[in-house]
Amino acid sequence: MPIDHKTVQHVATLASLSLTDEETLAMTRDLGAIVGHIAELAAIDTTGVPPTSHVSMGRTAWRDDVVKPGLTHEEALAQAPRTTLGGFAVPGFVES
Amino acid sequence: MNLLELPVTTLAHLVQRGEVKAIEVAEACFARIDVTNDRVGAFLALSREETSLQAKSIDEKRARGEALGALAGVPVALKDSLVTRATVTTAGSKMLAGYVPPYDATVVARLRAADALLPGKTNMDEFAMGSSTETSAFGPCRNPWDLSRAPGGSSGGSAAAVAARMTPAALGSDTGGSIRQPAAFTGSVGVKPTYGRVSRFGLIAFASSLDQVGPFASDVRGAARVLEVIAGRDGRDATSLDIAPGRWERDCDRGASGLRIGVPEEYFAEGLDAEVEASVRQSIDQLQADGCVVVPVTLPHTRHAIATYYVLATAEASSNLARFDGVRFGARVEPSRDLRDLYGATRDHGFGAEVKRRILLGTFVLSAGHYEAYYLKAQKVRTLIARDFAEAFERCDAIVCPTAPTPAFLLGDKTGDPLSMYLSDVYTLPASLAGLPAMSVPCAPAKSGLPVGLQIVSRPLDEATMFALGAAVERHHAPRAAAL
Amino acid sequence: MSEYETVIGLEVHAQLLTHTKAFCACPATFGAAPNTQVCPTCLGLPGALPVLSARAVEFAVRTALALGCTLQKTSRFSRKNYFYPDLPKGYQISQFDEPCSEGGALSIEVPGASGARVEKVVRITRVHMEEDAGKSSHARGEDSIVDLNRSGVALVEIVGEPELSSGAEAAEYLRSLREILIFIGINDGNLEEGSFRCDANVSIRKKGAPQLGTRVELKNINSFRFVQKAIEYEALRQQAIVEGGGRIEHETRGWDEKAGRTFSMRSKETAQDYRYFPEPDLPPLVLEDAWIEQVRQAMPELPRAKRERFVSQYEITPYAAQVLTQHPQIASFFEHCARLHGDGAKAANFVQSEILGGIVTRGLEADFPISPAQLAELLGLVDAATISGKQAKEVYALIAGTPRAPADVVRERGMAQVSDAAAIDAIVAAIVLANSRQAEALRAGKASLMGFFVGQVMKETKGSANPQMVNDAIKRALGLG
Repeated sequence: MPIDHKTVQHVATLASLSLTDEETLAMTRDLGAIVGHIAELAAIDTTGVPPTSHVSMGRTAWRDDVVKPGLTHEEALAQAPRTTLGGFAVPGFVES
Repeated sequence: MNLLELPVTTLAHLVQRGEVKAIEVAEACFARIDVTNDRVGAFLALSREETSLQAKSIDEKRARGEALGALAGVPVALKDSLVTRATVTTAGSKMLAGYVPPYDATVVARLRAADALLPGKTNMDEFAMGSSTETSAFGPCRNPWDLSRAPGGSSGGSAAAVAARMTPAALGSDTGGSIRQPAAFTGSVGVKPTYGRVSRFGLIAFASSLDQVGPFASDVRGAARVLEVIAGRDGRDATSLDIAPGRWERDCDRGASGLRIGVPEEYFAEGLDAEVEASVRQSIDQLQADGCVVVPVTLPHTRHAIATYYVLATAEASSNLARFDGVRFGARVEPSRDLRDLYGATRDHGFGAEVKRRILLGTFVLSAGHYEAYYLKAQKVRTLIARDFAEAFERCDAIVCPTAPTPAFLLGDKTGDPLSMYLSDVYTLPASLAGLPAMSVPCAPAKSGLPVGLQIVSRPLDEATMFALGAAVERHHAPRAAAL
Repeated sequence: MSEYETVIGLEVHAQLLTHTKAFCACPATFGAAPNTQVCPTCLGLPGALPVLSARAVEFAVRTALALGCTLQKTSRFSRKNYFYPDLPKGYQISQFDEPCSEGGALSIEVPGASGARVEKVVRITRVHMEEDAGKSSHARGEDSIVDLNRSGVALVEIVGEPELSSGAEAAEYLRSLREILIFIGINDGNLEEGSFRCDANVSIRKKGAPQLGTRVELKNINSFRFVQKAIEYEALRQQAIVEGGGRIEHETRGWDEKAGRTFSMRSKETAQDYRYFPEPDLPPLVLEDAWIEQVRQAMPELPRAKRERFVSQYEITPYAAQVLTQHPQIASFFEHCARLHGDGAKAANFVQSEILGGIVTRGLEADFPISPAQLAELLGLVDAATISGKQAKEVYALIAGTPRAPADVVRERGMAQVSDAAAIDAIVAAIVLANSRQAEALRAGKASLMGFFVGQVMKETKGSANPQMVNDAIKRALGLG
């Protein structure tokens, strides 16, 4: 499956990355080579092989329903580039 | 006596007995850093005052007659992907330049509780994505053995700190080899524990199902001690196993006699540097002389590890890095017209090229129409790779092989070709995919003097065998510090 | 609307009444000052990790069991990836291809063909667990402000099959579902605060057509009445388009109550690609049989079963049962009293007529003016003819809001009825003697004079004579049947 310019642009949009034209060109080239290598996976016989999504062998670890102190309001906002009225500020948008 | 030349356990012992003061160690540590860091670029940030206070408080504890922790007075460098409260943590990225986390990683808290000294944060490939520390946004780290060479990556700074004896120990993180490979390149011991052994709470995530925090040390015993301190269940990491750490320092004295060591043919094929091969084979012969039984084994799906890893790791990374959006912390590009502009511009500015590449690749393999062919397929191949090991472990107790196909390469050698950088991870990736414990321990150096690492991979949760073998290899090759 | 039929499928998101959020120990309460109930995990800070709440699992399993779903002993969490300011990690932890339960049903009552109410069973596709997002507030032209207090609150998503045929059915489905969630104690049903939220997928098709039409998603409607209106409007809007030769756009629409119409919010033509994959930070969710059984045992009685039981066990009318089960605490209060007193019908009547108005509900809690024990004692005094029913209302008014025993009040105020037959006869005799003219008239058949004599006796006894006994005594004294 080739990776072309359009695919890279679409994927960049999904990933919220605003690439310059130069970057898109370079990425198309690099990703093309990488995906070319990755394509070898297709040839491997995986009939009846279950996927591994977790290697952990432990039992499920649940948490008691007890409130614990988190961050103070000041700590929560301390690293925010912009805040307004106690909240994180972003360019105004319409709810969707 | 150069305090920083002492192995971890010896130093801790002296501080515990009051024969050496923690403040002396702290001063020696910063003196050494001041002399070497400009050339090496191991540390991104130093905590002089805080470390001095830590050291004084340890000395006061001792003076009061209280028992000190297992790492008393031992400086441990911390990879800058481990969050440290009130001190800048960057993960090697412009995106987090100046970021001050409001909490400590669990492993950091455990080190503190063991009375370790934490002098600073080390350089790394950006967001742990790389094998040479060249993608760091804050300048490369250089290999103390040869400053024109890479220390390996992504935990290059931590490895270099130990190699140059700025600290006798360090913490790194290993996702596809990021502890083991730099350890091999810098002549240190580097350990990736069984997945789930060590808490990831506070480790800035790259690939969640692969990441593990682990120790670097100047010797195997030191690595064992550090691992004992940081391992064990953490209620804040749901993937951390409810299994107590082993007595791994003790296992270092077990000896290797009777152990069956598996030598996988796929790791001794084309692409392996002749000197690396010779060095590794020499150690295998030495182990055999020590009483090990050498068993040829096969791990047939080894060559698929690269493709499998780069699908799964980048997929997880693309999701883990979505939180970097300029809203709550980190870099933000202003002014922005709207949300899309804010996200796009901030992420384009904050991330370097390698990180962008991996985010794009990861997003691609998860995207509609590609999920089955890439992500799901890779998960199945991951199962096959794990099965390879399981089958091999029926015939041997540990696998012994090279850590990397070559010694440390020159800075700039692979930066033009991302794929070639990925291909150099071929020996470390499989153990990561299978979640197995693995260590790199120095064996005979190349003729050039450059370090060579031997990798030991053992069964899940069998760090004991891994440490026993590592110590056995080390008995033939005393730890060497870089002459810097 | 004869040619077309409307097809509606509802998705409900219900916040679980756990003390903490789904994946961290922050409080899950509503209404706190912005960004004061947050921690590294629900803020999505680098290095933070999720840990699942046991109580959230219990509540989700309770919900699945209450709706007759099949539990998946092993299920998985997934990441749903998209960028949005109120989604701090850039993904939501949800369950995609391996939810914790599937395949249940909800039985509702809808108007049948003949007009009588009939039962309709709507199948449920799945119930799964996920986390809530934060909230954004907007001022025109300026910054939008993000509050992450709600980020990470535990939710269950309940997806119904597209088997509803009208706005009215949809409203009925929502009412029934909300009631169940309230009665099993996992949700407080608060639509205004957004703890119970509903999205409606609406499409139309020609009657009898096998395929579903293109669906439109109606979102952000916070009242059942509005949901009904919105669906009805939307069905007509779609019909008009189709009849005009147009195509329905797959999109998201909101409801404008003022204008009485749905409006487009966001086109789903370029459908979002959420790139679901298994959440690596959480191990698979494994439910053990013994644990499931515990949850089943601890399950509160479902409202419909409770109503049926009230009718048969306490011999009250279905209407009364409906009224008394409008809130689980009211049902509990009634039942407690019925058990103490022994006569459910009497308890039911008194609660409905006198007490309901004074009950204050706050979510799943309620404050009552008196306790079941006080009410049982009060009803007992009436049964023993110590006081009349009318007097009982007075006594209630006096003890409401206090822990006072009704018997004490009756004693203090000397309200105890004269129930001594001899004493009453004596008084009646005296009054009859004093009012011989009226006595004659009553004997002769002027029945309205009964009231006069009863009144006189009451006046004499200061209202404390047992009215039934007074009536009987007067009849006896005058030789009436």
